[in-house]
Amino acid sequence: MFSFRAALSKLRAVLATPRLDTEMNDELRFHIEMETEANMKRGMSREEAHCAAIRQFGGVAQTAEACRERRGIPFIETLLQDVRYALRLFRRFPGFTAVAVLSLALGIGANTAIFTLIDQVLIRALPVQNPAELVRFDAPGKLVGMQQNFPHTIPYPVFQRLGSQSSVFSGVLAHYLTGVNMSAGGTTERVSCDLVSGSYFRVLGLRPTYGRLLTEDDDRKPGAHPVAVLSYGFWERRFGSDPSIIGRTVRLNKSPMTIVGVAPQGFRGISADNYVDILVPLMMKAQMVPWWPQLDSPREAWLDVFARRAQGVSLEQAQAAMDVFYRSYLNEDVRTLTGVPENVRREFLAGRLVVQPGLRGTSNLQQIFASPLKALMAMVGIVLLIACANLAGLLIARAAARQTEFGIRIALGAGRGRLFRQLMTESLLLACAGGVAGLAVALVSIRGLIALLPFKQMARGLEYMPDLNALAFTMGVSILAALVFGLVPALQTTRPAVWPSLKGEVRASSGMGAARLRRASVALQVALSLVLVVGAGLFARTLYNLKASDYGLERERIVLVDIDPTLNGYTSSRIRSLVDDINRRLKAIPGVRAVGFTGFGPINATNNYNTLRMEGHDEPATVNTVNIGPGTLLAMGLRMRSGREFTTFDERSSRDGVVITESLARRWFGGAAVGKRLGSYNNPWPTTPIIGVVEDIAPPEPRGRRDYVFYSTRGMRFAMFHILTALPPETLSGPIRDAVRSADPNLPVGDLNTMAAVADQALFTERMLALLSTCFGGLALLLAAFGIYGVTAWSVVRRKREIGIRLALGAGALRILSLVITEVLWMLGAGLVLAAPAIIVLFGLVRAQLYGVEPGDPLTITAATALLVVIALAAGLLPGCRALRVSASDALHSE
Amino acid sequence: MKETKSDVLQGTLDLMILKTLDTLGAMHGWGVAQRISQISENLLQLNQGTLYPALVRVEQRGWVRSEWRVTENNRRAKYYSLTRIGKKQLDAEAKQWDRFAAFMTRLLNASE
Repeated sequence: MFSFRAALSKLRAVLATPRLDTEMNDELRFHIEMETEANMKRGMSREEAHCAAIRQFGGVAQTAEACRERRGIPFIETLLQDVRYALRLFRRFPGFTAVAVLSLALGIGANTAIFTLIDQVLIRALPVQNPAELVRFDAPGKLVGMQQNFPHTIPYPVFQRLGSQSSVFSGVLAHYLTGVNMSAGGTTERVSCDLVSGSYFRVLGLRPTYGRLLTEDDDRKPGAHPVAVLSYGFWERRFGSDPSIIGRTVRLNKSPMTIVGVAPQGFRGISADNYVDILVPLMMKAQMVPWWPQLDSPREAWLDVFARRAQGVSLEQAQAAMDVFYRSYLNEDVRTLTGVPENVRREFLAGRLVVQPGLRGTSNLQQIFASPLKALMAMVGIVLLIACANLAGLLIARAAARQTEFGIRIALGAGRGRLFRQLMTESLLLACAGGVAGLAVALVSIRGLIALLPFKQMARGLEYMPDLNALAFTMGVSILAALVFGLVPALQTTRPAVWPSLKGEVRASSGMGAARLRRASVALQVALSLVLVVGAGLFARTLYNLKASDYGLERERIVLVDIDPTLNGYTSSRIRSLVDDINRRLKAIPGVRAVGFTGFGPINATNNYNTLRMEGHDEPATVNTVNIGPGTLLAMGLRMRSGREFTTFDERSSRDGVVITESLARRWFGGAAVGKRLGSYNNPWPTTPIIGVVEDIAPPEPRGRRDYVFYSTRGMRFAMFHILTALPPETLSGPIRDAVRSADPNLPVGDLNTMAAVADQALFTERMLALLSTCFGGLALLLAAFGIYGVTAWSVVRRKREIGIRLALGAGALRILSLVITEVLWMLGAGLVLAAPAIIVLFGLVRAQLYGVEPGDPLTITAATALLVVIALAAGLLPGCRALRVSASDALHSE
Repeated sequence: MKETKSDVLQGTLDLMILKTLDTLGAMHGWGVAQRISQISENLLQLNQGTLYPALVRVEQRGWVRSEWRVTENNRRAKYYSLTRIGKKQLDAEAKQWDRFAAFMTRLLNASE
């Protein structure tokens, strides 16, 4: 029967233990005295009376204990006692405590940081209604036409037809993210604009914070709906949360648009990584994306489409419905394709509309980082395991040293459970300290990792605070660590061989089990370290291979500068004369060897690609297309293999023509490409003549598409200048800015980067993997070396007597050393054997991350093994040499 | 026939303490023990020690309160006294005990 009053009094008792103990002792003493007196009155002597009193009482100590148990909450009291004892222990051995907490902190902190990123990038769902019902569309396969290089985009007509599939989907939405120039209140800036279908907000189930959100009525006629909705964050940041913004007009790309509402707080758009500042109806595409006004071509895939599954429709059912729907759509669509050969037709018709869970929205970060993040997670997990094994070893040694203490306590009646609990409390305290410190490490690392992300736009959506999931994860890992590294020593030590420990014979025999355990833990550490070091080696070689696959362009020497003149109200014709002006001024800078420009992006960009038809062939060719200014190829130091490149004359006479790269020429025309024609794949008669063939150039990511077709620049909107320098690029940043400013003082210039720096950004994943895996590998080696050193030193101390005797009997230094080294070699051997299958298994998993090197690469594995062996032997030799200095008499006298 | 201490149920020990304090007024632990063995005419051989955990319990439940006083012999002792709700508990338990005893008697007589 539970009584509140009783519970309360127990709680109070826990807090007042010392005073209550004294009182209880007084009370019991009083009782014994009274009984003694009474007995004496009955005629016993004082001694007899006293003994009789105690006998009658029935055991004072037990009664006191029973009272104590009844009085308070024994569990908490013993726990507090354990904690106090543990803290005293930590204070006495600060070195041990520091090493333990630090290595745990690093392991747990790194784990939490990576997990937070994984959580934000991979796991977190959209903040919309019932996100589990959402699906995302993808149309893999041959589309025949242009596709914007976002994954998962489909053409507008498909989206339109999907809207009528109401038995499968209760709503379908589409969106397209782009950048626009916004002028409001006198300032102009570039903002992130999401073109959304009228169904967008309805399907997502969102409600406005102020005003209204866009509806189907805002999405009927192209160009007829000049309205916009602000995202909450943008409204906060840019308009200071002013409600009067509703109804006001701003200019987007010169078009006046009325703000009608503010989206709900916390909604950042469907892309988890890209911030959306402003949302605008899809029908306004021509105004928002003026260089690409067409909305409904079936040959252009650009829309990101989501749908909400209707009641009772499962993912499989939806997919089946889509298979039927898409097949009939394709059969219709294929009729608009002209001059397409049979096998291409077949491939086209085999295309599928795939339906996937749309829970996490689209995310560039996801595509790029999912696999490396998981690899990192595995690596960090291994580091934590090593740290735990290390600590287990330390704790085993510590516990072995406490054998005497435990022996006495057991002899005095302490239960094994009690001792076990105390050891576990110590481990848990260490783990908690490690967890808290780990959280601090995580905070710092997350900040660092996000700062390293090259694409700042992507990083804007990410948060620095480890969230609740990560917190729970850290705590979980801490507890698990406590169990893992505390359990084994705890079990080991509470198996008492009482007599030997009381007699102090802690050395050889009773230490046996502990020694074996320690050696096993070190072997484990060796195995895990080897795995990490091999991994580090593989990633480092991958990075090296990737960086070395450069050709064609002197990336270190080309500085890229981009301008966006439309911000300042330039029209198309004025832009061209501006570009020519800047071109001239840049050429005039001393130290500049040559200048060229493109219409958008670097000359080796791969984000705009097209399907083209080559003369004399029916197969489509998918190539990167880049618009370049006259003379740019030669200016950048590229050599023409045949023909010529664009001149200003070509441009002025608006003559058509392209330049293609040589392997493209070789593949399609056997090298004799000049004079042949190519064109858009949909046109059965290609009309654009090839006027020149240039040497191959490497795309920014070495695994990217390698074929380039260069067009001349017409109707320029942006320009990116390529400046080939003879001097170090940093020295020219001032003169370059001056040159641009002298052409137009109001023209803002963005960051100046070398092409190599931009390429490095594309290699971010590989750089991150190489760097972090090297750090982890180094850390692992350090921990393993530390473990080996610890075990060997301990073993030397334990065997001091034996060593002393051997020395006295005339054993040579080598003999003694070999005793020590043999132990090390055994641990090494066991570790290497353990590691072999692990390496084979684990590296099958990271195969996709590698480039130019196989997971089982013998060179890397041999080098890693050699490194490990050297470090292990060195770690073992140190205490070994100390063993030699043991004087025989010292050893014999030590006990 | 002497009852051994294992026959004494915990609850009845509480009842004994409450009744004793009701009769004696405020009393220390030893006094309560003396009174109980006196009444039982040494039929009940309690280990006196079992009294003290029981005293802790009844005090926790609020049936009894305690204070430290000086005895006639100038010793310090902890005196216990019955509270109002202790009295109510005593009455309730006594009634229950009577009913139980009556039932047992009837049962044992009926089986003949």
